[in-house]
Amino acid sequence: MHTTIYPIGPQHPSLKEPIFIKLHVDGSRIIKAEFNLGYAHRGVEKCSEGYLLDSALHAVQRTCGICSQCHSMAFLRTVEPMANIQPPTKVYLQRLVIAELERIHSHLLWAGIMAHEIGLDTLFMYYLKQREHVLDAFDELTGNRVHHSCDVLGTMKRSFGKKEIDFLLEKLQTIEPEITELRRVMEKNEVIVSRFKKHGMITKKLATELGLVGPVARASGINYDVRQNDPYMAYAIKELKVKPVIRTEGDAWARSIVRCDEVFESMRLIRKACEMIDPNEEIPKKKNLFAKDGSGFGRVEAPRGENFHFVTIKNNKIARLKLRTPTLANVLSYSRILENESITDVPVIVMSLDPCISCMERVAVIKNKKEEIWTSHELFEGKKHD
Amino acid sequence: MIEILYALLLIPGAIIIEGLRRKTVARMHNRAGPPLLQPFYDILKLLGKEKFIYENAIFSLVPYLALFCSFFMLLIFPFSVIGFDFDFLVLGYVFILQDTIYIFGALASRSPFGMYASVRELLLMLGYEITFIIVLCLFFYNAGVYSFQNYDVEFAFAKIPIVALLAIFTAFVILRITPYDVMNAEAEIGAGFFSEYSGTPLAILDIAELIKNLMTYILLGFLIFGKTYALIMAPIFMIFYAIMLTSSARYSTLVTAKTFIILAILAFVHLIISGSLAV
Repeated sequence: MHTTIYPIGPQHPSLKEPIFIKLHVDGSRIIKAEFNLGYAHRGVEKCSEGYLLDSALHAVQRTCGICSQCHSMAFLRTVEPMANIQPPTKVYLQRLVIAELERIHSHLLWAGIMAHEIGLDTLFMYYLKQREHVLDAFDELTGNRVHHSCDVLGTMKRSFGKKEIDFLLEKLQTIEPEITELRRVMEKNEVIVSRFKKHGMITKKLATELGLVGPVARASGINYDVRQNDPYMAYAIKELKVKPVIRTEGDAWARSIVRCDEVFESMRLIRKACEMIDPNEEIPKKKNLFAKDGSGFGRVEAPRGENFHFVTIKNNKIARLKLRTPTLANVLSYSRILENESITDVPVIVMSLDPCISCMERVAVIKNKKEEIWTSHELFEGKKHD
Repeated sequence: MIEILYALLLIPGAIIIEGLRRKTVARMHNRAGPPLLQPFYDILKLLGKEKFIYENAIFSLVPYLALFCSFFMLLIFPFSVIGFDFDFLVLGYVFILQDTIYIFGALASRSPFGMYASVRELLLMLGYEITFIIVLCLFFYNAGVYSFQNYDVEFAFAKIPIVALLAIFTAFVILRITPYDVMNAEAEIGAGFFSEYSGTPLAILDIAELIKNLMTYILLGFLIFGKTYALIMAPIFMIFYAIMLTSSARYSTLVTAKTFIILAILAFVHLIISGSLAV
């Protein structure tokens, strides 16, 4: 059959980061979708190699602009046991507060972009206005709005006092009614429902086959959340047990609702953690630490799903660092879910997985002094070796 | 003489109206918005850009043809500058011609985005151009005249409210207000028609669009409120449509083809019953 090729990317208004999706279309129906990655490789792993743990943490925290705390938490979850440190509970609670605030900020930004993709720019601006309050809270708590960079090995740079906690709770109080209203719009508005429902369907079977993670998997009925299945840091405390939001529809709309509900769950966790934090307790000062040689891995639940870090330490320095961000797990499903959809729905489907391309780009294999880059498509289909 | 001056003043007027529109939209979005004269700066900057254009006669001609259509509208409406009394249908034709010209430009660019924009525009044209001509006809049948110069009905909406409503709905499509901006839906097809244009040709296309938008506002004021209020009503219509654009999440399920058809039938029935339209 003769098909027209419709390119989306590497630069395209619906994509916030470079990725190339090549659509073979018949009229406006998509027959086949191929995609290619490798336009924004930044080499975070290589940057960290050969450095001390503190310096490596500095690079790791800057992997992602939206979920920097999750990367630092995954790294610390891996190396803190290797360095034989056990931070006090207050540090764990503070880390949880920042991580959950980050989830709120990430989901609000995502919901805004989703609204923008279907032409509802006002809704986008309203979501961003609420996100601004969260960024203010970050500024108050950590001194930075986007790259918080508040973690150090075994402790944190700042201790939360009464002033910070009151400011945070006040901000949560401000955004809660607004977010409730915006969630109602997301759930009930006819335009949103007609554009999101039954588009980008991922069944439970497909999600299991592809190994999807995060809100995408939970919207397809898979009960998997690292915070619940493998509790870490403060999530292991009984009062802070996470109730994952599960839906079974598996379409773009279900993903939206899962993310909207997760915002409320995060707010509940933050409030609970704030109750447990003792504002007068001092956290330990930063110390120089020595880690044993060896390897380890750690995983945390980032806003987009499971974030996995593998670290090898030699002579107190990083010998190998491997990050697997949740987008790499989710992005593989594009070629499957875009089939038989219309071009009109491509932006909605692409954005409904919340891809964070630049954080993910690190699939490279060095072979015979010749660099070759594996695209996710090749990984997915299986690359032929000669 | 005074009419020529008037027509010339409408060109900067169109740009300032666009600046005001952006300001209104920004206020609705909770933003400060760009300066009032931002569209001027945009166009000036585009005019100074390097000319880099795909070599194709139709593609290169389209911006000038579109600008010609806009100027032609200025010459015949709301005052006949060239001194010839045109039939009201000529304005309708020019509106339609301008959209057709965009389709040619987009197809000649051979860009997939332009191609999809043309297909969507063609589908939309089939729907709304008929309603647009029907609206024009109904207003003029109501007045009993055939040219803009003789149209002297004031506050026509009091007599034919359904036709007035239909006119306001039709203008949604002419002004490309969400959800009728499918041919410029940047999320899928980039800038649609204008994807491949840059520099001076893009500036010219911008001016043509801005003049056409102003003419739509004036036309609505002219038909619904009468000749005297045509220009005064233009900014008010601009603000109305800016607010509608920003609140499209609420109303866009209302503005469907069904609404158009029901309103058109109601308008005909109303006119026949009231005796304005002899069958």
